[in-house]
Amino acid sequence: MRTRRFDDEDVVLDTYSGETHCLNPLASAVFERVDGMDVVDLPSLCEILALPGAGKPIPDCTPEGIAGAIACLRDLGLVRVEVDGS
Amino acid sequence: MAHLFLRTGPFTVHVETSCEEVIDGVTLLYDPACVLRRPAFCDYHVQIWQPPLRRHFRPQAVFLFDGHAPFLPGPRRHASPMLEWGMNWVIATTAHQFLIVHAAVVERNGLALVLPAPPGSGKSTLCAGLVFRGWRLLSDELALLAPGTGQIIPLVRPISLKNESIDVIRRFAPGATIGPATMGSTKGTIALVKPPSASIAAIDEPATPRWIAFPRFQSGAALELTPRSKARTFVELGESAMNYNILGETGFNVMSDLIERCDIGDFVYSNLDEAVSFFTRIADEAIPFAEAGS
Repeated sequence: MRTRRFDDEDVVLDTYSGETHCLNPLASAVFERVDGMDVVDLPSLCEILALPGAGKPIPDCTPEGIAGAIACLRDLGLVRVEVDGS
Repeated sequence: MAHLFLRTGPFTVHVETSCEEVIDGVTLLYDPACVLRRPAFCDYHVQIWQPPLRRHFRPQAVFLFDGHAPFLPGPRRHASPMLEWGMNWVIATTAHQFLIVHAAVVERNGLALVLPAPPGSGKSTLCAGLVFRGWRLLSDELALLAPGTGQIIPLVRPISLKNESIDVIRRFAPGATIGPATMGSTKGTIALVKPPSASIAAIDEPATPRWIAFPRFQSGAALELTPRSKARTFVELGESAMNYNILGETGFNVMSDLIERCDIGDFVYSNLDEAVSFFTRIADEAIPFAEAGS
């Protein structure tokens, strides 16, 4: 996997499939934190992403939005993380 | 059969033809410095050939690359633009030493403005407008990005104008050499424009990409430049590039560098003079896109 960040968005090259994906700010923030993980605790992740001081506020940074971003990243084959907690 | 050897920048193309339209087109639209005498090596060998049974009744011409015809024959009156379309196809499908983006490229003060856009958007019109007001032409159709340096290599060939833009450029640059209008192509009426001699003189000088603008001609619209997402642009350019997927990580790295070093925006215009002055001011005064506005 190769990643380049432009402003608050990532472009990811999946070197296995050859596909390139553009991640919006929320998906980029989630990807940065869960890439390589097997399990993530959703409430903790929500807390971390909502913390001030980590740059610009992330649009749609709600538990539903974050869960959706994880599902989307899984569908794209970019992560394999399972969500723990609700 | 005539044998023409065209130097287009990094490539030398051997054109073998019996069509007078092609010979006349090359004579009119290629600078003598780009028509070589029997070079030692040619990158490509192409032919524009007349099928014998269609020499008189609705005469046709066919483009051949290494003896194979990638396209159906077309009317012989399309032979000159057919050579340009064919050369585009040959380069786009084989020159994988470059990342090839579907875009016009012009240069000023050593920095390149990349104009990617679908046909009919006003890309070639804007490109022609800029090069007849002091910008240098690098390419009208294919941006060749060199891995390693990220620079854009000139591929200086005639600019292809379509439909209304032919008269627009005739009025805008009365001194320009414009070939005969060819009607009835799939893209409408086509006319090829000879590149200015200053662009030919600098045919070996690459340029550093600095701006990417997606032009859109919209009748009556106020000029507007809107910054756009770099990440989204990356993916869009990758999808429209000729060989991004073939190049894999190399393509990703070259595209990353291109996006990284450029200001990027959507550009709407309706007046060519205004559009040309706008970009010239940006280049001469080093104005970032975010501050250029309208």
